[in-house]
Amino acid sequence: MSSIEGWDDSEEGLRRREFLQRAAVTAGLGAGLAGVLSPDTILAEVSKRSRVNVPSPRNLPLDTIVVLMMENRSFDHYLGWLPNADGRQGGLSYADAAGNQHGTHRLTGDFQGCAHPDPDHSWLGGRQQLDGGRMDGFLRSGENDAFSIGYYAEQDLPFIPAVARSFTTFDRFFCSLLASTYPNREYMHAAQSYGMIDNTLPLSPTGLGFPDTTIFAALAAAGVSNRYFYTDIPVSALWGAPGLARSGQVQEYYERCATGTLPAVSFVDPAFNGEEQGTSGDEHPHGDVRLGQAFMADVVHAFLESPQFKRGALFIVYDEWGGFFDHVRPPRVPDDRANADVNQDFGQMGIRIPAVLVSPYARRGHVDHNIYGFESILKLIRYRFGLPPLTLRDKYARNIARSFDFEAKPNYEVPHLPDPPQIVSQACGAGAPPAGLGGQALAGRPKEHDLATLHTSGYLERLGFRYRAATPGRTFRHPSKLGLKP
Amino acid sequence: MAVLLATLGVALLAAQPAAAALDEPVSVTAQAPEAVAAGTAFPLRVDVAAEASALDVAAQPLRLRVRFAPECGGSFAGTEGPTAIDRVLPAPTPGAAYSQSVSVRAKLGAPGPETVCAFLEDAAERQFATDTEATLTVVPPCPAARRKIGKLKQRLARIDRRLRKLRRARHEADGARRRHLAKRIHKLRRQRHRVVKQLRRAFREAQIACGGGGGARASAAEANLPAGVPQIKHLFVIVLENENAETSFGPNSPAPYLGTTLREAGAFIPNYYGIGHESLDNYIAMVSGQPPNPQTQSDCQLYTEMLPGTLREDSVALGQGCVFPRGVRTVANQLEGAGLSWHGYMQDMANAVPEGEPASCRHPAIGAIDPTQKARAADQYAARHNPFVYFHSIIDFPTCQENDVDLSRLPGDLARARTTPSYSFITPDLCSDGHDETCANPALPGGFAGIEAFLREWVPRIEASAAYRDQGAIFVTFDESASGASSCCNEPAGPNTPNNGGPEYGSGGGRVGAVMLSPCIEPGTVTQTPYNHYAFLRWSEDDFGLPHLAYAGAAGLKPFGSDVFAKPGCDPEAAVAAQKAGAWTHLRVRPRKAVRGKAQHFRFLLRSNVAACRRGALVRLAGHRTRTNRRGRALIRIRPRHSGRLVATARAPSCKPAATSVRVRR
Repeated sequence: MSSIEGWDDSEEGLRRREFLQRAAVTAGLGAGLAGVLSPDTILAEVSKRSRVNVPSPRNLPLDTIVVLMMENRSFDHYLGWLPNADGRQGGLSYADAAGNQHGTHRLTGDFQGCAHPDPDHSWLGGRQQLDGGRMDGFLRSGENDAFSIGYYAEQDLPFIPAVARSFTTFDRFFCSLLASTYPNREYMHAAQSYGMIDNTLPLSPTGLGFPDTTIFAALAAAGVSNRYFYTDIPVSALWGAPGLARSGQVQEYYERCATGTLPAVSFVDPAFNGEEQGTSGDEHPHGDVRLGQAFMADVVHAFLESPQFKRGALFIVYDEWGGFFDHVRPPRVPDDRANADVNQDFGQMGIRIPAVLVSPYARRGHVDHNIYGFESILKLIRYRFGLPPLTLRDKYARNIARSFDFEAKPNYEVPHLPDPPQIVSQACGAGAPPAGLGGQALAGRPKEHDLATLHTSGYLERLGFRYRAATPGRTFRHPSKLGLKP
Repeated sequence: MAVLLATLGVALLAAQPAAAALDEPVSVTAQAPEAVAAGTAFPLRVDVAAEASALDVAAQPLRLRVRFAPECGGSFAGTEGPTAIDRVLPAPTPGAAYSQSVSVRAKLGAPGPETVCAFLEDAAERQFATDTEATLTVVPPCPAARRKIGKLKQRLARIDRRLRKLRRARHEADGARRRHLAKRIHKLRRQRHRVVKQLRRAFREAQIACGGGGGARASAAEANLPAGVPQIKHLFVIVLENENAETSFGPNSPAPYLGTTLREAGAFIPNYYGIGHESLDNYIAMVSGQPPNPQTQSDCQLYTEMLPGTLREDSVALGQGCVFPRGVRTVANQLEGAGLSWHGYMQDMANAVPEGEPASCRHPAIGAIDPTQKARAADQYAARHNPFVYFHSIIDFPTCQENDVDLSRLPGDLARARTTPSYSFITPDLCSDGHDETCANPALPGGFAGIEAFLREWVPRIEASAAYRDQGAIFVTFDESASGASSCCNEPAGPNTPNNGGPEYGSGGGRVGAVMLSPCIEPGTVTQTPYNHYAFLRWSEDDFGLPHLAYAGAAGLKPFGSDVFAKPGCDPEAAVAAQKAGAWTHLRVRPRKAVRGKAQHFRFLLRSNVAACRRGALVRLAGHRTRTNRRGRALIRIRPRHSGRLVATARAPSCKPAATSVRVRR
């Protein structure tokens, strides 16, 4: 037999054939072709292979988009342990104002941080922490103490580690603004903070609230269903009466999940009030993180069990980094209120936050390393429902649709995720504060949650909203969490 | 850790609609090979595309910055790693769409995974678009990879020797001893398995590090030719000076070797036209498609910059002057980009080189008077007949010294097909190309006698080379006519000169005629179809699978076709095969089954009792096409969209077609 006419079946031949096959797979091309094609062709072929194809809006298999926004945690602080992600936890050290170095440390057993001040996460404090891009000012801003450079390991948190490992986690997800809660939540809703850099209430002579330029207004104008779900304090009240009109209590979210009647777009918020007592359910210090995690578990489980999960996506995000340490320098991006001076720049994004995507189209156990912000989620919503840009910010954002894998078969299998019980957390101030770096007593200055101001200032009342505190019965879905037998 | 390297240039490309597809008005797309060898340069290309007025809010200038890092930071400044590109991009026109492409060759030092981190920033370091998706693996360099294979092979042999010994012993032993030996054998076999896995990996890395087939370099790009036109793998261009077609190829040609012998041995193209007067603009058009301007039309007495050199949408540079800016590309840049080789062979370039000037890529300093305008007895090189030195995209890079060389290098390069460039541009000296009627060196013949002497020496030499015999071609023509400024093929007028004919009023460079010689051409072929230098460039680009430059891309311009290459099938053996009784071809595909929606490779083997039918056959599967290699093998990767049967076919000119099928299940 001529050696040219057939496959040579000698052992040598077999080995080489197998090898060529494998090399072809490695290069994404035929080994024989690799030498023949031009580099341009090879490049094009390779990039086609590694890039995600996102279907056109009308073919995008996402009908339900849910955004759950928790409070105040940075990526390194919360998920720095995650394999394949760019996280750093132990072994880092930060200098305080006096120049003393302090090492990062694990917050074992401390779920509230009662003994410590709430880390600084204001516009100015964030810039001190950024320190011109060196990311080393975490102990030099505000009253920050060692708490701000503490971290949680995988075993310390009851829920988010499991969901992060099961679905797609983002390790380049920056909060939209290097500032506090309000402006970031405003960016989540409207891709701008209306020039606000702090938690100022929108009190204008003409009336309460910002002009309603939110994604909700745009969706409503396009005839797309949308709803905002609160637990105790509705952030939507920042847009006045129209904001409240689209708001529902979180029990409605659970019901709609179960009956498959979730609107196309919904945002879900935890219980904010009770921070000074350490009983808030949003993971904001000094609220007990286990309480917030139990709430997150309910929201995620309700979504996973909903018939709408099959064509849906749920994003878990945190509104900002809460003053906790992180090593990745946030970028500057285009913004309507961009300024060359970083101290006045609304285009300066905030520090990384933990973010997870739950969807049958999410890559399982995957870490996405591309750059996203809250506006990336807005862009996905706009892309899906054909809406024009809200501001420059979301116009130039990277579409988070790119993190899905729409080419693979959707995976409807619901992974086993824990369902942590409700924790009856102790109010802060009950015990004596431990000594240590900055271990000041809190007694003198209790601090209410930023968002609680909406209630305490009478703002909600003026809008005609009747505030009701978040009881377990109004927070959780599952009877077992309320101490009842299912 | 890694270093940066040479740059190939910026080129304007057609706007890419991909940006708009995801509702992202600005997009950056980086392309790099998936695996590269450490220390070996590899192509890196970054495309920037923006919708109309999307970049108007950016603070100029825009910068494209690319770094390699295991993981990209949130910004260029926040990414730690070697910088591959840091370039200020031309300002976008307000209100217009924007598109730029930057190609460089990059090199990485340390083996391991790397990400291409590309950022489009404005002056305030504000990111308008990023691409952090392209990843690549750096494998150890070739010698290290080979050493690793050697070591692993030795280890494997050692294990095999011990295994043989143990097996023999087991065969003879019994009871507890036998069980003990069996255990040891089992352990050793597992060890062997691990080594085999490592060896496979090492082979894979060596394949990447050392190039396909262990040193053989890329041969040819996919040609972009119509059916029936064979691909020329080695092209030799010889350009002579200033004669009319009627004279050179007329009945009483003063050059009988060219006008009769060569004409009858190949394809004669009587209606081949120059594109302008005088010389230089014709040479420039042949390699770049750029039109004449008054400076090039007067042969660039002063070696000045071509300014402003702004690129029009069709990549025609606007301005006046001689040396085109970096953004203007030539067929040489294109060939390099495609991994193909090119050489300019300039007779007499290395002779009597003035002190301080290199013996290759020789050209005056910018702004200086060109001293080669008039031949000297010992140095009859003319820079104005060497088109490659009129482009910054060539002379700014060390590859110019390697590729634009003296003609004396040609015989050595012809020795083997492997060392012969894919594209050779041969310019005889002022005496041998017929430019000077009486030579500066009185011992040599000038005019037609010079042409005859040159062709009689060099054409047979090329024809005897392996490169020519394996689908090579020699193209002989003149730059411009001696008189008349006629044109053909709707040659565009301007935009840089009021009169293409320069000193002679007319729209072109006159009819000069041309001859193409090739084993792929039926001797005695004559075509009346008109062609010019732009058409020639277009054909040579098609032949090597390259996009068309400037006026070579003019709508409706016809490249050489089957009227020139009239011989059925280039390969003489294949021609015989058609008539041969009992000829058969058989196409085999593996695997035979596929799964719908799953991308996979299909390996083809084309078998035939006629060797010529096995190679170069066109294999088609589900709209994908490729050609078989020397051994009749081909590989196609597809993702079947529907279940059922997919038919694959293989066709070679004059050979029996063959077909087979793949079953696609759900």
